[in-house]
Amino acid sequence: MTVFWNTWVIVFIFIFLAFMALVVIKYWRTEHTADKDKTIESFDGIDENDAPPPRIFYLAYLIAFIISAGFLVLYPGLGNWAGLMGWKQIDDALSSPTTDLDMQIAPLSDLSLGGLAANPQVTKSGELLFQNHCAACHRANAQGQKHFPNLTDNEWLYGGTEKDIIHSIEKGRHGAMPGWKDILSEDQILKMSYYIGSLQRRNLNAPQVKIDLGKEIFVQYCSSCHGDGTVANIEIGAPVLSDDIWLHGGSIEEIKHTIEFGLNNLMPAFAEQLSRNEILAIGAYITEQRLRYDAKLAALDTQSVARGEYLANAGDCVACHSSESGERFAGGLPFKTPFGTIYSTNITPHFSEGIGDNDYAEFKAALFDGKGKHGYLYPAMPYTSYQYLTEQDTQDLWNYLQSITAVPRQNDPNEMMFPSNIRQGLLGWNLVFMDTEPLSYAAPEHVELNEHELKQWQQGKYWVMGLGHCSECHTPRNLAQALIPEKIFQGNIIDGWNAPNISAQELHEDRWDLESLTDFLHTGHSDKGSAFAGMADVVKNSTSLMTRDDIEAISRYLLVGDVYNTIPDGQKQLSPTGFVAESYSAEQFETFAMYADTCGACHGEDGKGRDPIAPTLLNNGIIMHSDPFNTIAVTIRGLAPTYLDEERNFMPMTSFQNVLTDSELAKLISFVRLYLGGREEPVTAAQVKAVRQQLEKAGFAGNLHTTPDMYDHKDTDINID
Amino acid sequence: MSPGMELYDVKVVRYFIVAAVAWSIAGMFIGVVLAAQLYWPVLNFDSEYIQFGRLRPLHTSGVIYGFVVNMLMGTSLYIVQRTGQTKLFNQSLSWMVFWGWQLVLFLALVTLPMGYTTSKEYAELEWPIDLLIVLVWVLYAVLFFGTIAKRKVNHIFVANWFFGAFIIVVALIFILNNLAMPVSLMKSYSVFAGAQDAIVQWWWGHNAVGFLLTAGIIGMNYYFIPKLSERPIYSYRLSVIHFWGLVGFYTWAGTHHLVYSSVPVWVQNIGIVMSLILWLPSWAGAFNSAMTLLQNKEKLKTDYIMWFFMSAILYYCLATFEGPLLAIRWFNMVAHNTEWIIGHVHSAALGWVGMSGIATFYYFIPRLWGKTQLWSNRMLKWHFWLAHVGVALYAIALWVAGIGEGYMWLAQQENGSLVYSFVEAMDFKAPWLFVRFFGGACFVTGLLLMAFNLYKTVSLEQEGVADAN
Amino acid sequence: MLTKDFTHSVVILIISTIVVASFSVLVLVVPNLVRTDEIRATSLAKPLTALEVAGRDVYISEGCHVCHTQMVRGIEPEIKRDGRANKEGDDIYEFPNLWGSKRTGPDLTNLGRKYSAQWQRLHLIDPRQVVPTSLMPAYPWLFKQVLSGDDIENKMRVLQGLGVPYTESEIERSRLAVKGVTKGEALIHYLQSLGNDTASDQER
Repeated sequence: MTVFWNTWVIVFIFIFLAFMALVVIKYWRTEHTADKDKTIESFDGIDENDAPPPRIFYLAYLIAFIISAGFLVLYPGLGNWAGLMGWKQIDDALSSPTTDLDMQIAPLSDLSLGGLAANPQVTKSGELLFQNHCAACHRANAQGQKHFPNLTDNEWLYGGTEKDIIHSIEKGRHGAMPGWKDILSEDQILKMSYYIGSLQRRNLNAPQVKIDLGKEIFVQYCSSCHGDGTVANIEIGAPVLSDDIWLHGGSIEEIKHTIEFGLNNLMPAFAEQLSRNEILAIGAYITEQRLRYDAKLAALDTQSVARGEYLANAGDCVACHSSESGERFAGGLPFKTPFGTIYSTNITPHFSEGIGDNDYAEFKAALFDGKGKHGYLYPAMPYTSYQYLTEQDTQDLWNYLQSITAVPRQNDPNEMMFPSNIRQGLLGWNLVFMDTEPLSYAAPEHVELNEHELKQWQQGKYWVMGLGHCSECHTPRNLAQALIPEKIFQGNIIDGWNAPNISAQELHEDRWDLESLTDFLHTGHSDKGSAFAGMADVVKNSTSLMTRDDIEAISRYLLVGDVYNTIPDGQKQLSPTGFVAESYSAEQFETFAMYADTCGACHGEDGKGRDPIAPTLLNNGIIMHSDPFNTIAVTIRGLAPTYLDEERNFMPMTSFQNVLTDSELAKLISFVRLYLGGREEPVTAAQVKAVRQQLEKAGFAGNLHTTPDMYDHKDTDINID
Repeated sequence: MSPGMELYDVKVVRYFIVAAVAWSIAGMFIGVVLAAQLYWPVLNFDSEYIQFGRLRPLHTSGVIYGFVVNMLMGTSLYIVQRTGQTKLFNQSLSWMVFWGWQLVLFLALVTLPMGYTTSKEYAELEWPIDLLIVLVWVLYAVLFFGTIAKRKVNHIFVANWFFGAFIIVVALIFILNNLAMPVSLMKSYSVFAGAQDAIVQWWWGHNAVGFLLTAGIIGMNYYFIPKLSERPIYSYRLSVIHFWGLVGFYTWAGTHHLVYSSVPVWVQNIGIVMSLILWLPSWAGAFNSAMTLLQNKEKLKTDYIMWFFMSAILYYCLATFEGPLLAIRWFNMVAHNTEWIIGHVHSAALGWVGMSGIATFYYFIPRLWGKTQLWSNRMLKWHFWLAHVGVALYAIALWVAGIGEGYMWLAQQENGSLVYSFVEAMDFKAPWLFVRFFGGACFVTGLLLMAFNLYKTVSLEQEGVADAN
Repeated sequence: MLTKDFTHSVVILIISTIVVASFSVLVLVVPNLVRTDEIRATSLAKPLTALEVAGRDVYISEGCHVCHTQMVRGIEPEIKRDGRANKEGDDIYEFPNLWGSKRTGPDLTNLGRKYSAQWQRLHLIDPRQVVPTSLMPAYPWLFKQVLSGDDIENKMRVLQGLGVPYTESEIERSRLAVKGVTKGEALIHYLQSLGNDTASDQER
């Protein structure tokens, strides 16, 4: 400030303070003239009296003026006057640190990140710095989130040496990938996405032909950076695409999005914002976190983890806890219920997105009691079945889930309608509908079993009633979506299919035996037909991965039955005859001709199926089934291939709803059921119409031709209704 | 009120008071919405029009310009007539002021949610509306001072000094702070930049508090407190000292908002010194009002309106203690930018301005419509306790939240590294923000009771009093 | 003397109030308003580009300053948290200042060097996706509304008139720089510029 303005400032401050003092002094000196009962003037009925202000008020003013004058001499305030105390604003502090990071690091000889990671002073400082500068992207525990990498998992896009890590922090990184939206067609990008998706283990039902075509496109356009997808390139930060770490999301949609729009990923440089030692401390903290994670994984018992994986397969956890073709265990599959849609959750050990913040007790509470850490679980999670797990199996399962890759996929918000969106309400549901009695392994009363059979039966019961949670699909539900115990295994409509009646009575009547049922569950194929739709997924993700002994136990239990699930005395068994002379008779000939034109074209004129085109209809469990729903539904919806195994990929089945009328279909189905399934009661046109309308309403009615393209557009929702 | 109402222009006063009641509810309701948004961010509804950043200036403008200014304009135009024993200087002018001001408020209600803002705190409205405000304000000044000039008594009543200072100083600070270069119809840039602008802005910001929310309300209370307590104003000479102390020292205090900022240290320190001295005239004025009220102890025992005024005075003492405290460097270091400031503002705005306004409404509105008794005294009691629980929860919650987060922002380890991340401080205060929301909701619920009670009071025949009490 | 007069004359009441209230403006405001050249002499500030100006106006329009300060106080822990403390010359082109008065969210003075543009985008569209306990409103519409750039030339010219050293070509090209950009992208450009001009001032 110039001398003129400096003088100006000081002069005006003094004039002002003098004036203010004058007012006070004037009244102080005339205090004796005050009188509280004297009325000076009256306004609108309000008297103004003249009481003396309390003396302490004047004294306080005096003290205030004196202190202010002293302050303005000692401290800055009067323009350029710096004050006698030599005080500077920057000297003020709330606390007075006794040391600093530089002083703490200076005497250390080992400045490697590994060495510093063992120094709690340094890692503590690093943690605090990390929370302030890094956590908004990499999350508080350095586990990362979508688009921002996990720093604790030993996977480094730009190299994991200490030099590389320090470089990443100091100088930043810039990962760029071009977008291909304007260069490749959407179909090409989709095929490429299938190929990339096929490089990891996941529930990908894409046709092999598309994957192969995708690979060709990938090699043509992507290999200069990504090779064949299985190698990393740390020079440019190109990741391995065949592992299960997906920085930008690993579902087919996310992979497709990344290819379409490319990436422009930036790690800012911190050299200008943090000192070298601060960066070292952050590196030490990251290293400490990483080593801690390594130690946690190393501490897991490998046998227990292996058993846990087997159990997770048996429980088919991945089927629900992955979105359609999505990352394993990362959740996101929608379940449509009459009360709204809920989404399965991420059960990978990611701290903020998965169940990384759960401990074993919390995990067990969720698995057994449906008590999630953040509220009661909806009973779409079959905790009513999982509660029968043994303690050892639960621990093994927990250990396995600890060992899998932490996927940072965020859970989708559920879309439940009021009041079912209030999770406390589920406590009431549990009280009313959940049977918490331990499972009884006492021998069934209705059948005599030898010792081996009994053991098998008991083992089967453990699988079926517990992890297998078969009844969740195969048992009808009441209005509150609770299973009806008295109707166990009597079938239910799910996803536009009938999860068929698998009661002992029905299985017996339809002539399933230990061998055919075990074949069916273990391989998806049997003399009595092949698995399709939801059951194909179950075979693929779950039962095919179990031992044949365990599957045989399951078959034994199902065939023998249990309480509420017995075979009535004298239950007859069906004996399909196949086409006989009568079938070709004049009055039946028209129907047979229709059969030959439609079903017979693939399933053979004899209905015995034609490998590798179509499975047998003769003796087929679905054709023989008491409820013709699936037989009708398959003619209306068509059927996509299941890709259960390379050798036996049956062709897609076309839909007939626009080819045949309801009454033609009724006639055809009755004909097939009679000769190939041994079911005498005919199917009516009204029945066909009812099923067709139900499917149309739910959006499941099929296309004229179900081709591999159907897969790209298939409905990924599961409709419990 | 006393007979002879027809001697004065009261219709426009009624209009102002009704507008004030409406805006007090609307403005504070928006405040409760904002408080809820801070606890449940989903309540921003992903809407550009009601998201926090745009809604907040509507709350402050609604309360300051809608509730307080309407109330001050209404009461000042009433008091200046009664204490000067004259009609308004010009009746049509008074209607121009009324409708002009309502137009300003309507434009604020429309433009702020649309994102038209200058960003200057409590002066967010864009330049065309600012011009309208200046025009209306000048008309108001002419009306007010013109009415004083034609008064039929010798002295100018003390309330009118404070109203006068309120009108003059607000005009000065408003014009200087809002000097801007227009870019287009609804966009302008302040002519001041950076540190210079900050000095201007806080010279405005603090004086808006000082002269709108303090001087104006003091003026109002200097009339209504003795009226209600039916006792003389305690000390005339104390009001003179109070007046000049307030007008003098208050205008300097604004720079205590800039402590530790990049404006010159001497500017900050002068603000600190003046803020501390300001404590004295503030408490002197409070003492004067309290003594006026306490002279009628009998009425204080039963009359909840008296209690509202008493609480207002106590909250005034609290707020004018907190203010100087905040100006002190070591306290400012912790409390600056925190929720504590919001708590301080609201213990003044709800406790002092709000309670004064509520007391005035309860006393004034029945009399303005020629009634002598409230429809329900029980409801008045309910309102009293709702309001007090509300303010207390509000203030306590934000004291804890503010001091907590302020400490967490600055806390250092032995080696100087920060102990807490920003997110940790945010997570710490979250439950307290819920308590604050609850307190605010209590306060607004009380206001709704008041509005209903007063509506019943003025619309019913006087016989229809709900309870005999 | 005075007390007698101001209670008797409306003219004296008005004049004496104005005089007493003016001391503060004469001491605190006027001497600082005439120091513009002195403040600018020490400044490291660089004028915002046209796109950044457009982004800053989005910042103002959405009321970001309501919850975010741009004023790092000269206190050690605050500097540790938010970077270099503001100096008087830093904000000479800030018409008006955006220091703010409330830190509901963190200080943004030196934000430009801390996050990637992608983070900013994710965070603006859904703050809770990246910061789970964030209180911030979501601003998805910013990435749907496109700027026309029609008024940017006027803005630049007004700022030039107020003392920002824009060249004629910068002003002329400003419309092209802004046209077609979404509000969100402009805002991110502004946010990413924060604190860059003073980055070279190593005395943190």
